Amino acid sequence: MNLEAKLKQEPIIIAKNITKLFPLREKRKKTPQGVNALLYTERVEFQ
Amino acid sequence: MFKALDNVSFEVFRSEAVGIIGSNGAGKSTLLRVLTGITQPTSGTVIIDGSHGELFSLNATLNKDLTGRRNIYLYAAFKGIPKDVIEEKIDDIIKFSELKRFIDEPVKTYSSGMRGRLGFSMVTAGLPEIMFIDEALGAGDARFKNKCNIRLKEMLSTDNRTIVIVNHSMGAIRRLCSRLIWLEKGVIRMDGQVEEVAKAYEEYMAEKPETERSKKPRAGSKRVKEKLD
Repeated sequence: MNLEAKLKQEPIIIAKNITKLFPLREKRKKTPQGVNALLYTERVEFQ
Repeated sequence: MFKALDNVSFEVFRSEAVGIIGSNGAGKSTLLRVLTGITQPTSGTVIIDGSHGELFSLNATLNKDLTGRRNIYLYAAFKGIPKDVIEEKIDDIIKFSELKRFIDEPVKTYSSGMRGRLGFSMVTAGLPEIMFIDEALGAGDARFKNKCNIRLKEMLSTDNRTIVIVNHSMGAIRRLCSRLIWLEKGVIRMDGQVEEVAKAYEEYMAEKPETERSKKPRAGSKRVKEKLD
């Protein structure tokens, strides 16, 4: 078995079924009609 | 909830250079942060069998109030590299970064290119078994980028190191990588040989309008209506 094949036997990184969810935060603003209008939705990075 | 990564699985082997590509918001940087342990995955597991160095945002790697030299010592301490080892290597780090005249000046006085040079030199000096690089070489000039490429190739061929790199420059990816993973909307769309994946990705980027690549269609939008018709 050559060196390359030998080195390739064992993975150095294994990522298995990784799912990453970020909560979303809505930014709203009160309009003159009193309705909370949605300005934008942002991703919450740190919890 | 926003799903940045959706059930992503893959393996990387020693001395592989893996490029991660995908449009903006595809989940590339999130994946690198999860792999390096900066952020925890919501579910799933990551196993890293070796030391690793990461070059992400340069402002995150360097302390702007400290001098370049102090930053090298700080990084070494953070990575658990003994002081005598880093003292042996510090001249090489400074030489490679070409910052001899400025190494005792605070990093806040450095240009982006100088920060890039210092960051790359100190992270690669410790010869980590795995290097994670996220678009961090963008600020350097062509000559220094070429120098970085030569060092990365040496790390791969001579030292059997592993590199995982996120880059939008397909030229740089082609020059360095042996394998590409294409992420789209948090899912692996393709994983394989560089030319095969790069060709499919370039065709996709050329054909699809920007709105389809990175934004979800809104209900009632013209495009959704057309699709429904």
